[in-house]
Amino acid sequence: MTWAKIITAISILVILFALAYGLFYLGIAGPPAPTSLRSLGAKYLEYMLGNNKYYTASSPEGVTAILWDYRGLDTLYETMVLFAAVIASVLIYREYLEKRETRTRPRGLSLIVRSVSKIILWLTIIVSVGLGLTGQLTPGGGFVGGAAFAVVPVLVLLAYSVAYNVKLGITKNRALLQRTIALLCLSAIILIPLLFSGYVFQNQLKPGTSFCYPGRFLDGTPLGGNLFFLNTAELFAVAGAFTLAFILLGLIAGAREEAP
Amino acid sequence: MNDLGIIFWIYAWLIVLANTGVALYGLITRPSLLKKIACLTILADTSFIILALIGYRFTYPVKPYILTTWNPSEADIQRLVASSVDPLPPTLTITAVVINLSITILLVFLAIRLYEIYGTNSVKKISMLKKQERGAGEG
Repeated sequence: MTWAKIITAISILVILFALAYGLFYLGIAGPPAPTSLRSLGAKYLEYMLGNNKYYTASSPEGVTAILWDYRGLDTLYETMVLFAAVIASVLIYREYLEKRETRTRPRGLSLIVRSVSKIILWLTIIVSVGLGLTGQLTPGGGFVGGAAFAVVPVLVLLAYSVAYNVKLGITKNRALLQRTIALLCLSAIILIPLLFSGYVFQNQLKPGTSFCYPGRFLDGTPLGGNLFFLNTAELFAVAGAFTLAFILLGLIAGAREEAP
Repeated sequence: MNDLGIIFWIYAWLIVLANTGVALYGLITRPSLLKKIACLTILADTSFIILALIGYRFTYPVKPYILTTWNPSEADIQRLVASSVDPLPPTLTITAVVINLSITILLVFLAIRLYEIYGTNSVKKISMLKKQERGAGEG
């Protein structure tokens, strides 16, 4: 055993000890095994569909209300990080952006895999779109739906080939376009209140302005104001971004196989 | 809270510590870039478990943070607050999951590029090749 290994082992143990000490003795994570709710979480739950017209998010789902309303700017910057990362990864392989997908050989796995993945494909599409569009009512939302939807091109890529993705109409240029349009929609939803002398990222009624996104559908189902629209835009944006990245990965792998 | 709850609580935190140890060990000692990325993902997933544990509460009945009535009365809201888990840690988890996914994609692309340039994914071999290149440049 070399000195480097001993030092590594000791440092990992020290880090773990510090983590355990902080968690168990200093109580950084709050009291062990809490039985009551923290006051901040309780306030969010009280206000999200409550009667206070200035504090409500008009959504019965706590996480979506916090994600896009109470801590909306947080999520906006997170979206920026996501797209910066995806754009950076695409730029690393920018020569593949000009390359056409159809040049790669159409190949695929066996018939059993293809048949099974065809069923799973449709299930994934239905579940992910459902997750994305009902984010203001049930657990889910744009991020979850979009990330689930990104499984579709990967599945097609693995079971069939990049060429089959093109046949289905899933190309990297379309993914890039979809992502860009979805992001523009997202910014528009955030900026629209400014046109009506509201605030940036405003959802429900706030003091000093009469602007308010519709809180309910016509039949009384909670719409969450802009939460529904933001979730929808985010669904398409995240799905587009990840589809783009995965198609590029498939193209790189295809080019590697074709090379002598 | 009963004894079973305490046992589960300690067990879950021990798992978190063990996971952190495994991930850190892999991150530091494994030379392969892909293994480093995998360990980084394990570390991120461990932090999601930590967030889930922080947000959980030992009460009965424990419910998710969702109102099931669309026109809730004050009593409905108080009932939810009395039995719901904390909604803030799951929110942070969603944010972290997406960031983790995008960072992983970026790292995978970088690793593939490095593999194309040097023909290997091992950071040790890459640094050796780099030294050889520098030596050839000086000589």
